[in-house]
Amino acid sequence: MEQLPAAPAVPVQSPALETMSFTGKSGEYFRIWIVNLCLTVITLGIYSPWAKVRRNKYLYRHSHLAGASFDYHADPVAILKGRLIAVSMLGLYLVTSTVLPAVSLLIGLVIVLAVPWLLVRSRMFAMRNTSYRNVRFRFKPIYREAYKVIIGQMLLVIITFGLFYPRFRYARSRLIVDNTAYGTLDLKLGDQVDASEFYGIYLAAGLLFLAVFLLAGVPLMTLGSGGADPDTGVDSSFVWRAFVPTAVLVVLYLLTYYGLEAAVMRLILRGTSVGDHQLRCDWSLVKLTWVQATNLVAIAASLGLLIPWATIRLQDYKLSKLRVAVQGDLGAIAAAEAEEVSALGDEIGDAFDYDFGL
Amino acid sequence: MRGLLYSSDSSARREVDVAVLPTGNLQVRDGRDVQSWLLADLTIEPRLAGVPAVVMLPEGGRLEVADADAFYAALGGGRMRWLHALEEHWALALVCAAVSVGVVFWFVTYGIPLAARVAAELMPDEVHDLVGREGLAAMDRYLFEPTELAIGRQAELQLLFADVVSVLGNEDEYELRFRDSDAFGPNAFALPSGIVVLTDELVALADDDDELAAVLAHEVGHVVHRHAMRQLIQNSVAAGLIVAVTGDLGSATNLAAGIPTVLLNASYSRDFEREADESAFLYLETRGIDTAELGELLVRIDEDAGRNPGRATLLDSHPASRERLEVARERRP
Ligand SMILES: [Zn+2]
Repeated sequence: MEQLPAAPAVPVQSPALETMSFTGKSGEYFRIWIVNLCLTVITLGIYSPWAKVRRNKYLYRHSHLAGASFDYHADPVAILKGRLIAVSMLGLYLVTSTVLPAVSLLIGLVIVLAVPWLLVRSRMFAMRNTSYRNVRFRFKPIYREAYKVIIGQMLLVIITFGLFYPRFRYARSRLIVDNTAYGTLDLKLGDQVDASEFYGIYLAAGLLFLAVFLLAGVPLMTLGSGGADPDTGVDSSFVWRAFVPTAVLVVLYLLTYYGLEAAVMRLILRGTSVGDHQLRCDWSLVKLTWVQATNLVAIAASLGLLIPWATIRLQDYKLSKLRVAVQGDLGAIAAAEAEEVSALGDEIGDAFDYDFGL
Repeated sequence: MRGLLYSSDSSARREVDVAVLPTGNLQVRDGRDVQSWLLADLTIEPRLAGVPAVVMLPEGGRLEVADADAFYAALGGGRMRWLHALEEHWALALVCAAVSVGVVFWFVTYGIPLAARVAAELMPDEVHDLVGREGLAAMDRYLFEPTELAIGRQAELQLLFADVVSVLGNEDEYELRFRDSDAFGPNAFALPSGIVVLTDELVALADDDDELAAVLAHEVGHVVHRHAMRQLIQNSVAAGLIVAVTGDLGSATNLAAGIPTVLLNASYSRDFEREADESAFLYLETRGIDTAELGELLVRIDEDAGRNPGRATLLDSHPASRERLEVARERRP
């Protein structure tokens, strides 16, 4: 773990380490999930905002820190409104992209320009509707900064053919963490976390991907190098040559992706403090990647029935390895002024599947 | 009942005694300090498995009662009690699963195709024309070369096409276009606006004009039933619905959502092929031609595709040509 900043001159009491925990059970969650699915299907999707709220309430209320739980407060009607707008925009985009590609290009451009705004709105909505000990989280309406970071740095990413991407990711993470608050306590990504660590993670992931691909993928590819079948004229090795490398690549890509995301999240969590309270994250990247990869296999093999089990399993591991070094009293944090945020940004983000994660 | 009362303006909380009074009030007592609210003024959150009961107080405070059983019993179940009742029993969960599968199955097999057919019928001709024109223009740019068929041969085939349309066509306009395409190889397909495209490669592959007549009749069948537009609508609706439903079931499914979409498309296109084949058979029977002509050419297209795996897959894909050859042979008088 990285070095924390030097201790201040004034002696402070040593922090109490509180471990987070998750008490959700897969059987319980499965029944909630299947009822959600059923109601969503028979209402042709109209119930899905209520389903989302119920699912999140279950997951948040079963997440504990120091004897208290989190909660989720979004209004399903607000989500429904946002979702209807998002779906009609998506429909418009789909129709125009088949009929009038030129217009859809314009709409695509508008969507790209709206991304920073969507990011801010979606974070505001998500944070406003998350609470711990009845104090809400908050995300500041920093539209100008968001445009500067997202559009500005994205252009640099394009100009540098992606070489700038880890730096962009770092800037985005810092933007998100540093503008989040819990009540009157600001979240802060420590100064010791910088772009070089993001570069390190991406470089390691790239090298790992390449090494495994050369060691495992290339020998597999040469396996199926026969000729055409003389009877049917069908070259069966073509299937091998096309299918095996694709499958190997997809699996490799997924594993690398899970490992990379876990490494980035761990880096951010380790660097984050909430006021004086410092987060500690003890995820094992191998274990977390394993959990996610086996989850995916289980979900595919069960035709989706094991989604609830997989969700609970992942949440359980993530929270059990997350600790907070609590400095003083968690029961004396003041709430901030309340403000209402519509669900529009959140749901449009969902519909266009933009990654609003850290 | 013991409860935790959270402050409205900070993370402070204290332990309290909670009671639901017969007067319709909720009373919270901390030593000598007693507070009371009308139940009607409170937001009592619906019950959720495994967690304390949650009550949001009017001034922004929050009350948690660990013994949820006792609390909701005192309230007579609370708001939306049916939801928790549904979620509590495995038998009901099983019923929910069965209902979900049933509704999805009905919707996918009957609902979406029906809606697409109605929508394609109601759609103004201008839209069909626009989609067809744009589609052909795009393919001309990337996939097609001008035809190399002799003018005379083209005229013969146009006559054949006119004959097919005279048997199968309705009041719509039909048009036959010739293109050379190395990318598609021997192929023919129908666009929404009534344009049928025939590749030089297919003309070369056919043994005689009866086979080509069968293929043209098949394609005109696609046009008559507005298959191209229906397919476009069905695919969009199916993809949209899958996103709408699974978008809420956890992000792991996003990846898997593509698979049912592909399967659905394949199954829809099989139904369309069958319908188009029926049109082809109708024409062949009207003109007294052996119905097996259609199947034989299809099988030869497949063989050609097997020899040239690098080629793009058939646009108008013919999933089970051999099976369709059998059907064609059975149709012989
Ligand atoms: Zn066809």
